[in-house]
Amino acid sequence: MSDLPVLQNPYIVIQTTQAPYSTSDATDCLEAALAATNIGMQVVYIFVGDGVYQLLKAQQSTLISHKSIYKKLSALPMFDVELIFAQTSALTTHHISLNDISFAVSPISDAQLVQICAKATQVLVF
Amino acid sequence: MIIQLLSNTPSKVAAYCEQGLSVILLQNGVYAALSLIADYPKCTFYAVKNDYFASGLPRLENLILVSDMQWVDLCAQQHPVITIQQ
Repeated sequence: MSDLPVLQNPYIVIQTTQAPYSTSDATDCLEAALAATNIGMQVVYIFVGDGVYQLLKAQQSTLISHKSIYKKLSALPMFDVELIFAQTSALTTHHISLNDISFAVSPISDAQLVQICAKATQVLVF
Repeated sequence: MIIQLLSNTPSKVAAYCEQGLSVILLQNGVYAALSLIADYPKCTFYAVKNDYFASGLPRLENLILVSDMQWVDLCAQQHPVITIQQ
């Protein structure tokens, strides 16, 4: 497991915990992250639980008349959301590999997740 | 009788699967496919094609993908339908 980056400035943690499309939670989470960076906040974005399903690259969301959450997520670094993590235990349980993902997502253990949330000024869970 | 599962909660269909009933997976239910097929190899599992491909999950052997019309037909043929949403 890689070491966590040392975060000097105050930051907020945004956890996305739901699979895409059946609810608006995944999109709402993404919009919250973009809104936060727009006002200069440092955001740590973490995929937790079923949220890791958003990282499946082969999504064909147009079949259910949705825009691809994966494509939106891959633009996060362009909006200054560069600290992106995925819960290792969820990746294992859901049989998802980070190798195929086209943007930088780092694995994070449950202990590291607790640690990073404990030091955040706010934790938002979607 | 046929079961429809709309959420990623495979435990909620366990009792039906133990009786060998067929299950249709749709919406977030498609994410339960892998564990259900592994746990109940003798049951028949269907998934609504569009929902399954939208998820980005890989194709699975023993999972029958059906169109919307085939899903309606299945429900009509195997009535009554039990729907598990959450």
